[in-house]
Order: sequence, then C-alpha cells, then structure tokens
Amino acid sequence: MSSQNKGDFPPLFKEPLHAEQPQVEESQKPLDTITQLGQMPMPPQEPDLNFHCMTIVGQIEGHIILPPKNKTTKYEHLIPQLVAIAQSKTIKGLLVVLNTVGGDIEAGLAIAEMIKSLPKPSVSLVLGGGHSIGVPIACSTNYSYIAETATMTIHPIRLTGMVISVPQTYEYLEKMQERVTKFVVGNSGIAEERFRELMFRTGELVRDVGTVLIGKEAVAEGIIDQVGGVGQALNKLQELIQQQEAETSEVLQ
Amino acid sequence: MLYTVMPLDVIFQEEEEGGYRELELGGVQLQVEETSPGWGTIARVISTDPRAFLDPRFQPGVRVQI
Repeated sequence: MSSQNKGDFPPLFKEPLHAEQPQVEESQKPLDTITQLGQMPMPPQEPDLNFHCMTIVGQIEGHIILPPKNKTTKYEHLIPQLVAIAQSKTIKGLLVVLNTVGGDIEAGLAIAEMIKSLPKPSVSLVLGGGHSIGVPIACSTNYSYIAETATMTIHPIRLTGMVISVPQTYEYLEKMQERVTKFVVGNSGIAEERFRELMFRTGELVRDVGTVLIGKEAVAEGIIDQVGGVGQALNKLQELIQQQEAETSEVLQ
Repeated sequence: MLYTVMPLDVIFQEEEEGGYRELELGGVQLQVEETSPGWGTIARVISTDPRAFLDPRFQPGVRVQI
C-alpha cells in the first residue's frame, strides 16, 4: 500500500481482502460495486435539498476532552459547520436535532449563540432528551419542537465533590447560572422567576433539585413552541425559508 | 465546567483508549474505528449535510484505509 495514496478518495475503498472472496458471495452483495465494477457509484444527488441538519447528541464537549467512552458532540466540529452554513448560498435553513444529556456550559452557550445569530431560519427538535445545557440550545432556534416522549431536565449548575471555600466561588457559580437562565428566558416564552422555580424544585428528581419536563409540559411552560416530530419540524423550516425569501425579494424590489 | 444530568464519576470513568480517528474522505468528515493497522471501519459521519448519511460510501461499518 503506497503511502502517497493516503487522502485520495476512491482508492481508499479498494479492499484487498475482497478480491480473494469467491464469486458466488460477491454476487450476493448488491452494494459491493468496487470488486464488481471497479468503481464506487456516486450516490444519487438531490439538488433541491435546501437545508442542513445538525445533530447534537450525547455530551456536549468543550474545553475538556472527555474520556472516549462518552458519546460526544464537539464544538470544534459544530462551530465551523455553522459558519459554513451561514456563508453557503445553497443552504437556506438549519434543522437542529437534540438528544443530549448536557455538557460544557461555555461550549453549549457558544453553539446556542451561533444558532441564534445565524442569518438563516432554524428549527430545533428535541428527541429523547434535551437536558441541562441542551435547554438553551433548544431555545436558540427560530422555532422549537419537542417529541411527545422527550424530556428536558432543568436543574442548577453545580460542582460535585468540590468544597465551596470562598464566597467568590459561589458567586462564580451564580454567574454561570445567570448566563444560562438569561439565555433561556430571552429566547423562549418562560419568565425568569418561573424558570428558577422549576430549577430549584425539590421532590421531583431522586437525587437532585430540579424538574423534568416531558413533551407537552415543556410547551406548557413556554420553553418549547410545539409538540411535534421531524415532519412538522421540516414543514416549519420550509415555511420559514419561504418567508425569509419573500422578505428579501421585497427588499430587492 | 459541566452542566449535565450525567454523574461526573460516570463521565470521567477510567478506561482504556478506544482506537478512534477522525479523517476526511471526499469532503465528509468521518470518525473511524481502527480495526487493524492501516484499516478501519466508519463509526460515525460528522456532517450537517443530510445527503452524506445516505451515501453508501459512508455507511457505518464500511471499511476504509486510514
């Protein structure tokens, strides 16, 4: 294997082991076109696809690299992707799909701010879970959906296992909390007082203070706009894209 | 600082390194699990383009040279 081929695209898929396999087996594999035809087919392109989809799953990884067993979404991937989406002429909108347990505050807020300031329509869909720092990300889009069975946990930020040694540490935590609260309150329909009430509620979580909101409860609290699935989210995104296009063509006239 | 519902001791559990590598093929960023020297299988597609996920070249488990 010559090292100069590294980085080239099609030759990378030439799997030498396949050549030694019997013919019968190969004819049973409909996708194995490398050995049958000597080339990879180009996938059918859909030129009318006018949006991109960002999936935010597992832990949101920020300043600290988490052990590899954690399923993570890294901000060094998402932020350049968001810049590329903002700059693209063909991408008109963004669908954000969330199934996250939370993660780094600054990374989460950075992603939320990027989505919020994206000059293109965005729609979020919370599937499974959108906990902790996933809450501001879900609120950052123009419109938000939550699946009926999805949950969002609202709880305070804390440092486990750390002794709060000086009052300043507490103030620092309070400030971090403030950043998250302000963002959620400013980008959704919930009032600050109510958000804090949910955050410090006792008796709902087994080992913690806070609240778990399931599907329509998140909508009732005003954090999420509507209960729905991928179909509704895509329809809404297309509606917002058309709206923006109509507005820009009005400006041009 | 982490803000998560996952307990920190679960997140920071010690374990042996998984052999994952990130590389870009045909303009698509992939997370590849190293299976043997020079070869790996696609574990994850890191892209916002929904079409990349339908591309038969980038299906999870496809063997690629790394």
